[in-house]
Amino acid sequence: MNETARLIADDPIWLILLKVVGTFAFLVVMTLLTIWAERRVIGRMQQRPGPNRAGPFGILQSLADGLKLAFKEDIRPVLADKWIYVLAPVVSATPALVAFSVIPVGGEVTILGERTALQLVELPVSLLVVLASASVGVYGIVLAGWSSGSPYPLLGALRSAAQVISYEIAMGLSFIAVILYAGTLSTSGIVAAQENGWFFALLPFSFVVYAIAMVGETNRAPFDLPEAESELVGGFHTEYSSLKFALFFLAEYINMVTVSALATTLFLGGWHAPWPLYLVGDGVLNTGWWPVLWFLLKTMAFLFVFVWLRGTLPRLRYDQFMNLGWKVLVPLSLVWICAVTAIRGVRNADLVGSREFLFIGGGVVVALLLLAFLVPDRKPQPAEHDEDEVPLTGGGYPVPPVDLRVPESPRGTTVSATSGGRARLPESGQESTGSTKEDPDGND
Amino acid sequence: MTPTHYLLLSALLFTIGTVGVLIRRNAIVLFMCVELMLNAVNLSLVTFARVEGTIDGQVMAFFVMVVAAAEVVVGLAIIMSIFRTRQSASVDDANLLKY
Amino acid sequence: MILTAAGTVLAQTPLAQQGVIGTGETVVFWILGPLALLGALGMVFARSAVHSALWLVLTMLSLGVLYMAQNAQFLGFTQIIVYTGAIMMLFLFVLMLVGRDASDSVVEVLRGQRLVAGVLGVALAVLLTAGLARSLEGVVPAAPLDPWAPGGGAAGGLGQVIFTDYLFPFELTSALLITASLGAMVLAYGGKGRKPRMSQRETVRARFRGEYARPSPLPGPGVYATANSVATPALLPDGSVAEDSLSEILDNTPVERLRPDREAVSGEVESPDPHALTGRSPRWSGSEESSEQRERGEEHSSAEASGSARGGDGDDHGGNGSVPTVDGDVPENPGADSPEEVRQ
Repeated sequence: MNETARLIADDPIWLILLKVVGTFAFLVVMTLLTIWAERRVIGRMQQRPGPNRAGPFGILQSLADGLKLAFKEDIRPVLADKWIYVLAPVVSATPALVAFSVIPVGGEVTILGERTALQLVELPVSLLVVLASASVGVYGIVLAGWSSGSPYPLLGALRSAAQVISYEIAMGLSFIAVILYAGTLSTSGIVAAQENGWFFALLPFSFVVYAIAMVGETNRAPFDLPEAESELVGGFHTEYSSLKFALFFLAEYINMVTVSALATTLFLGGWHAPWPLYLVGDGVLNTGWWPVLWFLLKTMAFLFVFVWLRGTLPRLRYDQFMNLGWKVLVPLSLVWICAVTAIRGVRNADLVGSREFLFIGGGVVVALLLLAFLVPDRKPQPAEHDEDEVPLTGGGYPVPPVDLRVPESPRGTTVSATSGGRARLPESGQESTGSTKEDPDGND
Repeated sequence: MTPTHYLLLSALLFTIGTVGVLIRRNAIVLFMCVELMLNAVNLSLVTFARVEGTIDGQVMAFFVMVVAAAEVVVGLAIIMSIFRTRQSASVDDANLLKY
Repeated sequence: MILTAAGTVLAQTPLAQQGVIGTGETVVFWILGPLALLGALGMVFARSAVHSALWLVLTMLSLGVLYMAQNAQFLGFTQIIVYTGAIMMLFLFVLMLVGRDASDSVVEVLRGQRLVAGVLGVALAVLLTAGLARSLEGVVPAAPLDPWAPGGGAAGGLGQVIFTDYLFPFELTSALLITASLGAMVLAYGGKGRKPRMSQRETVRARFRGEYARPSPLPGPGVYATANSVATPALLPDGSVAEDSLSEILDNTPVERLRPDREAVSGEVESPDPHALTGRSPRWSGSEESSEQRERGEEHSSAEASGSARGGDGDDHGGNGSVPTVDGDVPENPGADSPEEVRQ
C-alpha cells in the first residue's frame, strides 16, 4: 500500500471531518481571492486600478459581490423545467468540490497527535477521480442550458459542453505519459515519483498539452466563446440569477483552482520544494507544514497564468478552438505517447546509456529546430481580381464619392434653439473644426 | 450480506429494463432501457469476478462497456436519421414494412 | 438447473481463499442498491425523456460506486467517466436535439401490451430472484485482490490481463469502435451531398455582389434612438424612418396584447404599493379617500395626456408646472393643484 494511503487509512472521524471542512473552506477562500486577484491584475494590465474600495486594496470586493448575488431576486422562467432548473447548478458545483479531495497538499504531518497526510482521500486510481468529476460536471452545463427553456442557453450549453468534452480528451491523453513515468495512477505516488525531476522538464510536450487543455476545459479565455458569446447573452447561465448563478460562478472558479492544483501535482512536483531550497538543511523544507507553502505558491502561479491569459489574448472563434483541440492536440498527443513509450522501452532495456540518450535527444531537438527555420515563409498572395470588380480609389477600400453631400441632421435643428447648434453634423470643414475646437466632446 | 444480494439487484435491474423495452414507445427511451440491461449484466459480471477472486469478470465488463459505447453511437445515429426523415421518435411510426 | 450448477461450483471455494464482506460495503450496498432500483423505475415510468435519462444517470452512478465497493476501482471509475460521462451525455444531446415534447402516446398500438408486459416482467423477476437466491445460498466471496499491487485489482492488473490473455478481443473492439464512429459519421453527414460551406471571405464577397438580400444586417434602433425598445424604428441620416428596421411581428401584434404593458409604462394605472400589507393602494388612506384619489388620479392622467399632446413647446412651461404631479399619494392641498393642472 502507498505510504500516504497507509497514513490516511487510520484517520479518526474527527480528522476526516476536519479535512473536509478545511478543503471546502480552502476552495471557497481561494475562489474569492482568485476573483479579486483577477480583477486587480487585469485592471493593472489595462492600466487602471481595479476594485479598490471594498476593504483594503479592494480585497472584500468578491465578498460584497457574493452578498449582492445572494440578495438578488431569484427568478425561474415560466418554460423552465422546475426540478432540473434547480438541480443543474448543484450538479455543476458538487463535482468541482469533490475533485479536490485527491490532491496532495502536503506530506506527512501531525494534527493534534494524529499522524496523517495532507490529503483527504487516496485511492490506487485517484487521478481518475478528477477525470470523473470533470465528466459529471459537464452535466451541470448541459442541464442548465436545456432546462432554461429558451434557445440561447440551449445552444450555448451544447457548445460549451462540446468544448469541455473535447478538451477533456486532450487532458486525459496528457496524463498518460505522466502515468507511464510515475508507474501509478495515485496522485501521491505521482508526487513521490518526482523527487528526482519534475515532470514538466521530463515530459515538456505533455505539460504544454495539459496547459492548453486546462484552459479549454474550464471555459476560460481565450477559449471562452460559449460564455462570452455576444456578451449580452451569457450562454448556459443566461436565465439564472442570484444564488444559482453564484453556484455556477463558484463552480467555474473552483474548477480553475482544481486544474491548477492538478497541474502542480502532475508536472511541478506537487508539494516538493524547488531546486535550491530542498538542499537546505538536508531537506528540512520538505517536511512538516512547509510543503503547503510550496504547493500554494505553485498553484497560485498557475492561477496567475490563467488571469494573464484572460487579460492578454483575444478570444478564439469556436471552430478555431475545436480545430485546435481535435486536429492538433489529440494527434500530437498520441504521437508523443508513442515516442515516450519507445523512449521508456529503450531505457528499460538499457540499450542506450544516459549520456548517449541525452546526445540523441539533443540532436533530435536541434534537427527539428533547423527544419522549422528552413521551411520557407508563406509569401502573401497577390489579391485576385475578379472581372466584375470596379477598381476603386483608396487602395481597394471603399471610400465615399468625392461629391457626397451629407444632409443636415434633424436633431441638430431642434437642439439648436437651446444649445447653439453644436450638435449639428458638420456641413463644411471650417465650421466643424471651429466647433470641435471649442467643445471637443460636443455636449454641454 | 452475501454477493448473492448483488446478483439479485442485477436480476431486478435486468427485468426492469426488459419491462421498459416492452412498454415505452419513444425510441431513445427504449434504447436507454437496453443500456440498463447491459449495466445489470455488468454488475453481475463484476460480482462473479469478486466471488472468484480473479480479474477476468472485470475484463469482460470492460469489453461490454466498450461494445455498449459503440452500439449507442450507431443506434443514436440511426434514430436521428429516422427522426430527420419521419419527424417522429416513436417506434410505432416506423411501420412502413408492415403488411 | 444451470443456476444450481453454478451455485454448487461457487459454493465450493476453498476456505483459505474466503473473504468476508465488511460493514462498510454492506452499508454502501443497502443505500445504493435501492437507489439504483429507484433510478431504474424512475427511468421506465418518467414521462419526459430527459427525466428518464437523468434517472438512468442516477442508476449508473450508483452502479459505478457499487463496482468500487466490490474492489473493481478502475472499472467503477471507467463506468462513471465513459458510461455516465460520455454515453449518457450523448443520449442527452440527442434528446435535446430531437425535442422536448417527444413523449409517449397514451393510446396503445397493440391492445393489452402494457398489461402483459407488466405481468411478464413481474414473472421474470420472481423467476430470476428465486432461482438465484436458492442456488447461491452458501456462496462466500474469495479474498480480494490487492488494488495497490501492480498485478492485481486496479488499472495495472486489468492492463496486464487485457494485453496478454485478452489481446485479440481488445484488437477486435478497437476495430469495432472505428467502424462505429465511421458509421455514425456516414449516417449523420451522408445521404444527399452537402454543399461545401462558404468561408467568411466568400460570404462577404457574395453579399456585396448582391447575391443576398442586403449587404449588412438589419438596422436596430440606432444612435439617434429616443427609446431603447426594439420596436423603435431606426432613423436614417435625413430623419426619415428606415423601413428595414420595422419589425413585422411587432407591428402585427394586436394592440390589446400590448395594452397592459403600455399602461404600466405610461403611469396611467396605479401600480400596487410595494410597502402595503394588502394588495390595495395607497397605504394609509381609507377607502373613500382612495377612491377619491383614484378619481383625481384619472383626472390627472387625462389632463396630463391632453397637456402633453398640446405642449409641443413644453420647455417654456417647464417652470410653471413645477408642482410635482404625483398621482394621489400626497393628499395635502388638493384643491390648489387640480385647477392649475387642468388649466395646463
